[in-house]
Amino acid sequence: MIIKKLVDIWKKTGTVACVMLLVCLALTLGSAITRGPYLLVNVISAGCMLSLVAMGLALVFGVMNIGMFAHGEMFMIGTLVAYFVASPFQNLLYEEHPGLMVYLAPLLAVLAAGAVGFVVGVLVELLLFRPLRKRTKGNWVMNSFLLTVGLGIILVNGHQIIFGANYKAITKYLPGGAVDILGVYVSPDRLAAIIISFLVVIGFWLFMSKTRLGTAVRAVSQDETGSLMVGIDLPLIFTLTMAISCGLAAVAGATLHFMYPSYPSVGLEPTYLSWFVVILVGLGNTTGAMIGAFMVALFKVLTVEYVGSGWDHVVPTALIMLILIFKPSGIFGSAVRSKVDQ
Amino acid sequence: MFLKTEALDAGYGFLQILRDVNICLEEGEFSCLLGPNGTGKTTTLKTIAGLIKPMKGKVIFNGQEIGGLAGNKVVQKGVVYVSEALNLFTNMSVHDNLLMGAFTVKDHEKIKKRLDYVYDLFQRLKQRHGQLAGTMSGGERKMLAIARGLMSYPKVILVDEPSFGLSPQMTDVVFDALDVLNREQNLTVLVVEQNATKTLEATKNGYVMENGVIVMSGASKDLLADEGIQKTYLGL
Ligand SMILES: Nc1ncnc2c1ncn2[C@@H]1O[C@H](COP(=O)(O)OP(=O)(O)OP(=O)(O)O)[C@@H](O)[C@H]1O
Ligand SMILES: [Mg+2]
Repeated sequence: MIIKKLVDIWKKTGTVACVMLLVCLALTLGSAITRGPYLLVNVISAGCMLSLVAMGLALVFGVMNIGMFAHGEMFMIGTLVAYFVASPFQNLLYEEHPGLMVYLAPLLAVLAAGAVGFVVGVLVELLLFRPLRKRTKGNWVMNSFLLTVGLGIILVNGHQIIFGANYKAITKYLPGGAVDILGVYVSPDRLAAIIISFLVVIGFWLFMSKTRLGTAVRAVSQDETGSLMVGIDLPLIFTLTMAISCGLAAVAGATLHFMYPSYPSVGLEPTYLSWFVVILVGLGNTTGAMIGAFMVALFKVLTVEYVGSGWDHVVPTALIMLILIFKPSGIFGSAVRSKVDQ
Repeated sequence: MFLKTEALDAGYGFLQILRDVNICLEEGEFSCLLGPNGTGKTTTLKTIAGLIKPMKGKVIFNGQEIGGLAGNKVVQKGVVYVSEALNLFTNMSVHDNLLMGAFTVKDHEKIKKRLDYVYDLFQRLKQRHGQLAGTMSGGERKMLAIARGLMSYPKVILVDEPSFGLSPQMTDVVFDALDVLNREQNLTVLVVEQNATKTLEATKNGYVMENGVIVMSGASKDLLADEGIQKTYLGL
């Protein structure tokens, strides 16, 4: 079943992805002797985080036909919630016997961020998109897109007015030094981030493929009228979809808070990167978004390594533009409005 | 009356299509709605199914007003609509489409029983249960749409143009299935059709619509014998 799916995905990606992967592999292997494992860890951690953000973006596009440009702001909200939850416990990190709370605090921060993101998603749907949906006949994609741009601006400036423009940072989440994994030193925070995003992605996949509501979400992405005709409550699914998507981004923000201090425009980078991903794989494709996230992470890490850190947005963007010129529907070849397939 | 519309007005935005439509279906009745293109037959079905809100008038099912309810609520009440566009989940298998059709049914035993029943009714679907709905032939998709509609244990099924795009043999298969359902399950059926002869032969009662107004109604065999109908619809 899984193998069949992988083969399927492989067929769909076609030659473009092949060439791209070969180039990247060659580059990674070339450096494997010295820096390879470090690069790999970087790619995995960046890819995991980007998966969470990009899958939510793809989900909202696939199900609700919304090009969400305020998605990074949900990441920002995640970092902010994590900051307020985790920072009171920072002094525990340096105590002789910190106890269990030092491990529980980061977990609490991530859960709280996810919950707040979920609630914000519900509010965004109820207060913005539901009224708009009632009044828009044509032009839904453009109108909703403009609304998300406005929402992004409001959230960024709202953060600045209420919490100030300064960096709100924690030093780190977990006590202890770097962990040695096969000769690579990985900080506990980074390791935890990888594990958490891995678990969340699996949870998301299980929800979408195994639960009644998850199948309903997929059904709505394929045919709204058909979903209504079989008895699916469309408004409920829309609300749930937006909430899950925002929740995922907020979880990503909280998990990575040790790297991304909270400030008003911290969401800019996740927004751009996740848009790269969904454009690359074809809008609305969640499985593709996960794979695409790792590709973009690979581009980014390799660029930083071989070209220089100032170029880490330029080179991936240029590559994506190049791919799009040859395959405008994205490497997975889905049409503009695509399906959320598992 | 089992399902009836009372002085129903409906349309799109400011554009009114239906005017004062009164349709009455008894329980277990097999009826049809005929009329030229663009008169509002599909609009009538959509309004009953909850995909369009009525402008005025009522839709009453089993003594309850269902006009204006959202489509998913209407399905829960037991009225299911099979649209002309079919609205299948093209990226899901035949089997998964059928399971989606049973979305409102909670009891797994009941779902399984119904699944066996529709697979028995449409052998072709059983053979192709793993195929993606989007890759099925037109006739197979029509069967799938009707089968999906049946999965929710409806009491009334509204079918929009079951014969559209089908060969005469395939049309017979679909009509026979509807007939079987009507007799075996006491399912109330309302079909919208272009093929007047075949439909009037298969059904018990009929309504004729022109420009959003019901202009004639009665027993199908009487309509079939009517001179006006023969001239306009049967080309005799
Ligand atoms: N979404 C819509 N918006 C505006 N007008 C519509 C819409 N759908 C249908 N109409 C109009 O409503 C009228 C009735 O359409 P309807 O689809 O009910 O006709 P019909 O009787 O089913 O015709 P046919 O036999 O061709 O299927 C037509 O004039 C059509 O142009
Ligand atoms: Mg029609």
